[in-house]
Amino acid sequence: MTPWLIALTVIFFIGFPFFAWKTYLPLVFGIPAWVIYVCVMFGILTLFLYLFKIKYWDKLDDSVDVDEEG
Amino acid sequence: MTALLFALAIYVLALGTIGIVSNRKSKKTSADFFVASRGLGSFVMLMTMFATTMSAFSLLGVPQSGYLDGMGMLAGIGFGDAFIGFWIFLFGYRIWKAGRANGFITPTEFYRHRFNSDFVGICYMVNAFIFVFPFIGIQTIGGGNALAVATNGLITKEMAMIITVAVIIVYTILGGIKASAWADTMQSCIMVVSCLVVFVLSATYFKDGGFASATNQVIAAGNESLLTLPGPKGLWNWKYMVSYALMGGMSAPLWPQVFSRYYMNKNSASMKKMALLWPLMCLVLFLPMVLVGVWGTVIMPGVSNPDQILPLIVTKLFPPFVGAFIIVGIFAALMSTAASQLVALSTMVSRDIYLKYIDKNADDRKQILVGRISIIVIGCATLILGLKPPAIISTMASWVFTGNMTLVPMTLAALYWKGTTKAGAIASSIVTFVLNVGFLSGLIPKTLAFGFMTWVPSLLVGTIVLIVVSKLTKPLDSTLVDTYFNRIWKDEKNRLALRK
Repeated sequence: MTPWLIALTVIFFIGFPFFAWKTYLPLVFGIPAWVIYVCVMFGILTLFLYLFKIKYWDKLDDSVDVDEEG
Repeated sequence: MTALLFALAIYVLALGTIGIVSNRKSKKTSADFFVASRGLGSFVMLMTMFATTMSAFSLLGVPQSGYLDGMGMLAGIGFGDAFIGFWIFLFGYRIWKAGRANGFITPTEFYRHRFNSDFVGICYMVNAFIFVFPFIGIQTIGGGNALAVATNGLITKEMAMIITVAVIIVYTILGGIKASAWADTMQSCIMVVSCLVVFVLSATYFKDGGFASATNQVIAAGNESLLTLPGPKGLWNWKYMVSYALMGGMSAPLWPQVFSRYYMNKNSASMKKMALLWPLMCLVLFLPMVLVGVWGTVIMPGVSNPDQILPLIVTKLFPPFVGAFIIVGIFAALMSTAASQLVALSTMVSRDIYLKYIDKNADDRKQILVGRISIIVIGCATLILGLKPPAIISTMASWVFTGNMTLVPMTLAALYWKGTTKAGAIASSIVTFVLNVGFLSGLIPKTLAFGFMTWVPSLLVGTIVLIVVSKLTKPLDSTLVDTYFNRIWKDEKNRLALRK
């Protein structure tokens, strides 16, 4: 797993409480900053999945030996 | 009203057409009827998985949660559901390969074969029926309520429920899972567009228009706690949020209707694209729905039935034709999930009960016939359950996520641990199931969960039991284990080595 992706995930868990708890400020277009932060995390998760795909998943052999008796 | 009835008529007609077309294109084999000949591409797979996973809860329950408990739902189940993209790899990829290699059609067939045990298969089946069956009933009740509210009672709740179930039965009987998947594709599109339309139009209700104005009025009304964590009642504390997020991500991918969809992927590329786009689809659905629920506290304060806040806003604010489209969106959400669950359960009746125990030589025609009869029987049973709901039904339906966590230790072990034994899998699933039901029914005090959701201790104990019992009992036949880890799954690495 790419180390900086793990770092991003850790930053999220450390950073989330600072943004999220007990305050809705500042508002960005009427949306609390911590909600924007969570939205960005959806994007980071997508990026994480993309990198995971090209660095690991795509390198697996996808062919399947079909069991004739199956 | 006319616009709504017209929109519903078009929607029902479209579903019927999908049923007829998929029936005509059917290859009349059980693999085609139950798993679409394992040939669905990435777009249809993404859409059918999304529509199946996002039930009426997403368009009724999420705004309700925003209305009552604020924005926490987005970070809780919204972000947890986004992780399904990752779980698709962790669970789905190996299940897809196993299904292709061995010709599996139901989830039960995988568990039964992997552990060489009919009893493990029965454990899965019992779990699926106990938790999924009442959930279908709840979907029809949700549909009935929404339509009754949207038509001001012109269509009664009971009539709406009958229409809902009848439509689902007709198109799934005609086209099987293929009809369900194509209908899901249309329904997902309607759901996503509905969410975005509601989001934008709700904001225009407020003075000066716009999202900022909407949120400022929520604050001016003294509801700023809805915008913060842990919310006005303290529901979204960190323990609840983390356990809810994990449950959302891990539980849904093991529902029978989702599990059997892994088998339907045409190739691994369709699965990968599905996994990649999943988080963004979740964001598009959850963010608007939660915010609309929060804004609903200003648009319609103090409603007695907050689960209907979305239909109430729609009927109050939107032009009739737009409102009609949104109501159809709500129907799309609940019908897609209920239809998929109905097909999944009927497939299990046909393959795991009829073919396995009653007529081992049943040909494709017979299996499809039993599947169709099961769709009617289970559909009618859920309708009766919805029309005269016993007090326990809503409780049991709310257990569906937690209950499904029973399968997590056994499934992860089946997919990734060679040392799992039959006894370990059985002991783990029974212990996790008993603990889950014990916590949910109140027989075990919730204080023993130490503030987390009750599945957390159940899962931990179940995992420990699985490891300990597996270490102490007879290993599975090495040929069987090799089949999975050295041929179907581990083969990947061997072939990579050969390539290099």
